[in-house]
Amino acid sequence: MASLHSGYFFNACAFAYALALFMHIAFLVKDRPWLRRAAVTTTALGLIAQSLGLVMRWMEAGAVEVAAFERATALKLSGLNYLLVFIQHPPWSNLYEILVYMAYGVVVVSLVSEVKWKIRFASIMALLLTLLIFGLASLSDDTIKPLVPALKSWWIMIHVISASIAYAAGTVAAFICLFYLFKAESKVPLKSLASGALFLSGILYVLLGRGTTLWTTLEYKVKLVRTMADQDVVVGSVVNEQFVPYFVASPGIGPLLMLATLFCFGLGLWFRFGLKNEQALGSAGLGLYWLCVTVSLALCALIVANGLFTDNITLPSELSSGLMPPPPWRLSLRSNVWDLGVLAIALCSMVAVGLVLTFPRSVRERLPSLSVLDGAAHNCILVAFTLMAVVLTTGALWAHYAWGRYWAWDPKETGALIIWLTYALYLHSRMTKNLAGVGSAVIGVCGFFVILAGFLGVNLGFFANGLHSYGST
Amino acid sequence: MYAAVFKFFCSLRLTAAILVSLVTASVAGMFFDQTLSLGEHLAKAKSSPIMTSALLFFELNDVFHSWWYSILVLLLALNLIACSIERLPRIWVDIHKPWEPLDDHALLGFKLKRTLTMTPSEAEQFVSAAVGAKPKSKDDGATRYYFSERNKYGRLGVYIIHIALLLIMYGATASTILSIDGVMSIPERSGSRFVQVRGPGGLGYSHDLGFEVRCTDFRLRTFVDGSPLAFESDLEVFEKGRAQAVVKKTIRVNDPLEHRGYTFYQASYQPLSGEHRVELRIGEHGKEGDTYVVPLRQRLAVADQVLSPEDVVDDFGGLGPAVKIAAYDGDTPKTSFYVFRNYPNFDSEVRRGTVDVSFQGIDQAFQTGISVRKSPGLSLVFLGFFLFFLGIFVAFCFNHVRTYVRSRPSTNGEQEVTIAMWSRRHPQAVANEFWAIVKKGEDHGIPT
Repeated sequence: MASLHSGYFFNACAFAYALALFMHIAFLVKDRPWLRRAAVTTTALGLIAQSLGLVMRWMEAGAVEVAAFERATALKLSGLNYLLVFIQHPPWSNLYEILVYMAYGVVVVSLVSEVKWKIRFASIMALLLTLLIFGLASLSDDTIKPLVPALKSWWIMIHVISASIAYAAGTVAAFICLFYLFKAESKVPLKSLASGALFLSGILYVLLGRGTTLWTTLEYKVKLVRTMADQDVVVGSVVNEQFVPYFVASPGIGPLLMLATLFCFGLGLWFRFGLKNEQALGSAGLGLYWLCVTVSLALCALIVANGLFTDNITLPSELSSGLMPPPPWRLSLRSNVWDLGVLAIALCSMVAVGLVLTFPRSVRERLPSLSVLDGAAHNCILVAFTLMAVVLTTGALWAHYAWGRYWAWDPKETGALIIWLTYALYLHSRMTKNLAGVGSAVIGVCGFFVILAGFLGVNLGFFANGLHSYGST
Repeated sequence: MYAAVFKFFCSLRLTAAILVSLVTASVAGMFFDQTLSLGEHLAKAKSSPIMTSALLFFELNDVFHSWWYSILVLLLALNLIACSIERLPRIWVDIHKPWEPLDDHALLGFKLKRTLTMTPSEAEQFVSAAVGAKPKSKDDGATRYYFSERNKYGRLGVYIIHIALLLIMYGATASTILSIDGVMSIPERSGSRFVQVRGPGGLGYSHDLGFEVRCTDFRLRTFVDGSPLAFESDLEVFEKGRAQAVVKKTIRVNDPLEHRGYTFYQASYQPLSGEHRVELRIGEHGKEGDTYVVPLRQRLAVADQVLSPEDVVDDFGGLGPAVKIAAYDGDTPKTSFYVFRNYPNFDSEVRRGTVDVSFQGIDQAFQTGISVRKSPGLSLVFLGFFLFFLGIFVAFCFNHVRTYVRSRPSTNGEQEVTIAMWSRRHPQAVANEFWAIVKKGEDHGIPT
């Protein structure tokens, strides 16, 4: 269960990040330089706490690894051998650890960019994302298990370190590109921003609705859960020697999700094609936009409420007989953690764009000039591009030595390649006449979603193998 | 006609289009499970004729080796080559072209420029601060032009990256077409010279290595729950007509053997039914004992006792693996007792006989599973990786910067100095550098 010591440090740093977030927002409203300094200092303190937590976690994993080794071999380790076994399990080898570690990367990069470019909104977005990642991590399994032989390689260190910085730099670059779009008032009309945010949310809602499942059955499906010994265990059955989780309709959400999806797409289409005014949405447009945000907020609240309070779920006996842990079944936040993450991203982008729509002038004058934003995004993406190349090559070398093939096109590898190609596209688009500026900024924003798909989407099995198990309920 | 085709392949727009298509195609490859065979995909898509024909036409079971993905990669390669052919000479000329003095017309083309007025001695100092001690210079009457540049070959970094990518693409294609990828199963203390290869269409065949690989020993260490901790094989390679092994190596999961272009990876293992060998540590009560490795039912004389391992139990009532030991009196078994793998001190603490027996492990005969690969293009791919990072380093760390200065007499016996700077990348950093230099001049002279 919860590893006490590293857990304490992670809680402390999450608290520090939340505090820093508030300070950054306060600085946005009240222009006092000490607020910014305090925010940066608090973030740095949080980062130190998280570093200590990671070291602690590494030592906890080391102890597990040594114990497993000694029990297996009946040898007593000492000296250099002890050290080698002790450090071979770095704190980024399961999903919980990877999430915490990715959050670490995001904070490092955002802190550097805050000091270097002083883009006010970048740290706010990055800290929001960090807190979201911490929230998701707290709902994942945090037990330490001994590493399997294939993961015991020195390549894993440089591979994962590069990946976390690359993903973080790409994420921060995406935020900066988004600000570029906010700032480029002569090239990007407000209505395009609004329709962009709405289409994006609409697409994310279609993902939440599992594609066609929502449209054919009007049901929003989440995993069924049972609480055993204070832990939530996913309920499911075994098909072809593989565990397939059982999905059950979350009450009341389906119609609301459908409504939100239609609302997003409809309003987006109206903004894009119906609205003639280039520079302002008008009070009707603005009102509808915030109404759409409110519907999405209500959706989010209802999903959370369902996760917290839906306890007794019963199924017809012909369905329930094959399912593994027997009743009582319930829903929990764990039954749709990732959906909540996707929903939070949709909501945050809608709210961010909404603020620009409502207060365009004050947001724009708080942003640095277009050339600074473009240069900052370019630098971040150069880092991301280079480090993604490191990830790909070290991954290839590692696979070559571990499995005898350097490249096998499995979804994880392909995902990393796609991220790298996207950044290659960005770098080339900056040199192409019609794409430089707005076009490349849009590509930079897309980079964030490509990272999400390539990193989490693959880890969580949205693609290939996992895809079938997700939809087959 | 040729010019039009060449121009088409030179455009950056084509690059953007190809990259977008590659990303889309790769996403498609992620959605369709690439580990399933065509037959399995067809069985899934049975009900939909459109899906079936799409599967067959676009080879969706093997997107990354399909004809259209190959075309995209080929287009990218052609695009890269054409771009290099078009741009490299121009850049080469630009690097080597003679410098032009900073006259009024040239000045129009600069973003970073400034004119200052200062005394002649200050001007001299300022010029050397701006263009270094040994600038190139030209005189035109009383006007003097200076020029210096640095890192001009940094411009070639991008081409190193592109050549590296071409190498990787070529090497990867070659290794896909010419590679051998198979498995060998060798029982302990025997050898083989044939690899089972999965050929085109899933048809298997045997590939003759031309030399023999022997496995002299296989060792497996497990966690307490029986899952593998580590496994390794001792391999020896025998060439035809030689009695001595030419290579000996112990291979582990991350540590393969390479010989004549083939690489042998430890991939799996299988227990062979048959003999167990038991590892026991036996010594007088309370003393450190010696280790014995014996087959089952072989008698051992230790101190005044004759013992023999009779039977191996995988899990003795939840206590884990155990061995039944029989103590002999002459030829007949007198008593028997169990010793446990997970409790090495059990015998000395619980039974307290004249000798202590502890059960160290079982050495079972195994058949080692080795995966054999030969990828001829692999060294090209790895060379490509190296060149890629070299190119990145050159492109990002060696920024081509040119500095131009014009110095001419102004009124009142003062000098009018104009400075301009151009750089290939990092405009912000170079701008900072420029304004720092200008500030030096302003501190001494009067800015205009």
